[in-house]
This record gives sequence, C-alpha cells and structure tokens, in this order.
Amino acid sequence: MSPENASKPSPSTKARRLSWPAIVIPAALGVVLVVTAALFVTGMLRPYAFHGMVLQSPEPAIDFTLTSHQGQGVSLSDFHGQVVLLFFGYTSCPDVCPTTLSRLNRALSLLGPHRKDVQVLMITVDPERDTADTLAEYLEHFNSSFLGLTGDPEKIAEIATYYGVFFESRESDSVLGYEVQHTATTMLIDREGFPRLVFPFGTSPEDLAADLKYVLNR
Amino acid sequence: MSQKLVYAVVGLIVAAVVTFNVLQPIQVLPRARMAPGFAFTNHAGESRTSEDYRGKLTIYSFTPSRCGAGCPPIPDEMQALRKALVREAPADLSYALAIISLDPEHDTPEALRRHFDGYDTSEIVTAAGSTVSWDFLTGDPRRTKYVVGGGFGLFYERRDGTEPGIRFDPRYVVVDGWGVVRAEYLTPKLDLSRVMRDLDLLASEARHSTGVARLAYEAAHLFRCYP
Repeated sequence: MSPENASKPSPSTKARRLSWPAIVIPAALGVVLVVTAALFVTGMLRPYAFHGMVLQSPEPAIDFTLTSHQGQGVSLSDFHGQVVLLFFGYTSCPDVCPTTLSRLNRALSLLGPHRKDVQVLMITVDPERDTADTLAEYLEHFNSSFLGLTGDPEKIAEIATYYGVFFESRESDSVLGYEVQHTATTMLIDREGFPRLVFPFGTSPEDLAADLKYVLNR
Repeated sequence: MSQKLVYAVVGLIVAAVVTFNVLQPIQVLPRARMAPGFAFTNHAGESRTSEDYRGKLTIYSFTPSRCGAGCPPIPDEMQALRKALVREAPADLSYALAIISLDPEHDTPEALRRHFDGYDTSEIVTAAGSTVSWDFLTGDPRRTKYVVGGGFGLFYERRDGTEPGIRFDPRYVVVDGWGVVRAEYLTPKLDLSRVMRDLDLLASEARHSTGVARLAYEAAHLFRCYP
C-alpha cells in the first residue's frame, strides 16, 4: 500500500461516517417515544376514561326556573360557571334518593376546596307533597349546600322529559300508600351549561369525584 | 442506513395517521343527547316507560293511526326493519321498535290494536339469538307533546278538515341502551343498509366497552365527534 493510499479512507470507513441529522433525528425520535411511553404508562397521556356516560351535545341544556327550598326562583342558568349535578327525586323516596344524595355528598367532600364549584340540584318528582319546607328539612340531612327545587307539576314533567327522566306515581304497599317510580340517573352539566355526563344509579363517590375533578380542571 | 431508518419510521407514522383517518378502523356514532323520559301504554294495554327500553337498542318513530293517502308508511318501514333485524342483527343485544302515536286523543290502546292488527308485533328471536320487540305507544296528549315535540324534536300539528289531519315530518331515532340518542333519519323511507350499519357500529361499541378497547373507542369519540 502506497502512503497516498494509506491516508485515504477506505470505502468501508466512508460508509460508517454519519452526518449529524442521521444521528440527531433518530435520537430525538427515540427520546419522544420513550417520553410518550412513560407518560402513557403513568396515565398522564392516556385518554381519560369517564366513569359516567359521555354526552356530546352541540346544544346547551335547556334552561328552567323553579322554586328552591329557600323559597326563591332558581334557574339553571344561575349556575353558569359552576358544574351542576342534576338529580330528580323526592323526599319520601325509600332508597334510591337517599343513597344517591349520600354519594353525591361524599363525592363533593373528596373534591376539597373545589367543592364550591359544584352545585347539586334535586328536582322533586313529587311536587304535590314536596313543599319548600319539606325539601329544606330533607336536604339538610345530606348537605346544606344542596338545593331542592319544586314547582308546577306539569312544568316539572316537561323538564324531566327533556332530561331523559321518567316518573310516575303508583300505589304501593308502603306506609305512605304510594311511591314514585323514577329514573335515578344524575346528569352533570358543565360550567358552560352543556350536558356532559350521565351517571347511573350506584356510581361510587370516588368515580363521581374523579369525573368531577377532570371536568373542573378542563 | 440510518437515514433510511428515519425515513421508514416517519413514513410509518404518517401512514398510520392517514390510515386511521381514511379507513377509520374504529367508527363511532356521536352521543348526541338524552332521549326523553316517558310513561306510555302500548297497544296491548301494558305500561311502557323509557326505563323499559334501557339496555336495548331502540328505534323510535312516530305516526297517527288515522293516516290517509300520502302519509309516510312508518309501520311498513318498521316492519321491514324488523325483518332485517331478524335476518342480520348483531348478536348479544336486544332490540326494540317503538312507534309513538301523534294522535293520542283518538289512539287508545284498543284503537292501536285494532288498526295495526295486520302487523306481527310479537317478540321474536333473531338468527343470532337476540330479541326484537315492537310496541305501538300512546298516552296523555300533553305529555306526548313533551316527549315527541320537546324530547325527540319532531314537529307535528293538527290540521282540521284536511287529510290525514295531522301533519308531521317523518323521523326515525336510534337510542342506545343508556337512553342516549345516537342516530336520526329524517326521511319517510328507511335506508335499511344504513340503519343496519349504524346498529352494527353500536353493537361493536357495546362489545368493546371494557379494558383497552374502551379507551380506543373513547379516543375515537373524542377525535371523530369533536371535529
């Protein structure tokens, strides 16, 4: 081998020399992949899976005005900027309503200081019997911030229909002699007034709180 | 060599994104809004509430029984849909057809039973082992207005002295087992292949409602339904 040839790089040496983009780009892609995988595993990048049924309504929830247990006219739109949990029940309800209200109360307690950003509304499905005073006394057992709403039975029927809630008073063997069959879901209405989630009866306070935190932080 | 690898990786990523958007491996129907709650009576005189349809894929439509010439053939369309469901409905789900009367003052359960006597409304088992039920529903006129006009968004009005007497825009509404409106067809005649395709999508989503598959479907909802 002559000295000139010895100073020239051989073909194999030339092939191994890499340009800087060929090093930086794969390295950057590798970093992105590793970070993405780490975020996915830790849950930070995983799409949040709601516990309630997600609604994708392009229209806001219809507004309504009823009388609160404090005797004042209250509209859904009064709570713009807050998250509303809307539930239909009645004070003589033997099991579903107290269970739901207890769980809503527990869910709110799990929110810490954010609980003030959530308003629970219970519209009575027994307006003939549930007066403002009755509602006030009943809700006090669960959470003093909960608002009970009552009003004209036909108006409540119209509101309930829109919110996917059925109710019907029937005779029963209970002490009261009647019961009101009703849908036991709770609807979450976001800060902008759009229906966002529907929780079936039995959703745990932890699941409720997790969804509430997600919506509140958006 | 490394440059080729970079091009290959970038190409694969681009191909995956394009494939997802063009081929749409996961298709979903938007969860538009809650279907209305109701308490009606069916043609057999039995109570039927919106809760009775929970857990089923339900197709609602609307018509008065007294519906003259030129009236949309809603019961015939529902009958054809029932036959299609029996032949090819996806398994593991129950299906319900419900026609709500737009003339509840006249359409008592007895009137409905008499008028729609020619239709087989018995609950039937499909080839895949699912069930299909069919109800003609009627109830309090004012509540019917809340349900049909307010909840399902169907405009109808009585026109005295004209035939068929009640003017309405034909509409079919698909409601899932959660009571959420998932599809609407504003047409007098159903495109059965389209309806069956939509029901197939809903059945597929119901089958994949747990685990990682659920995440994929929720992501599809996020990207497909919030354009």
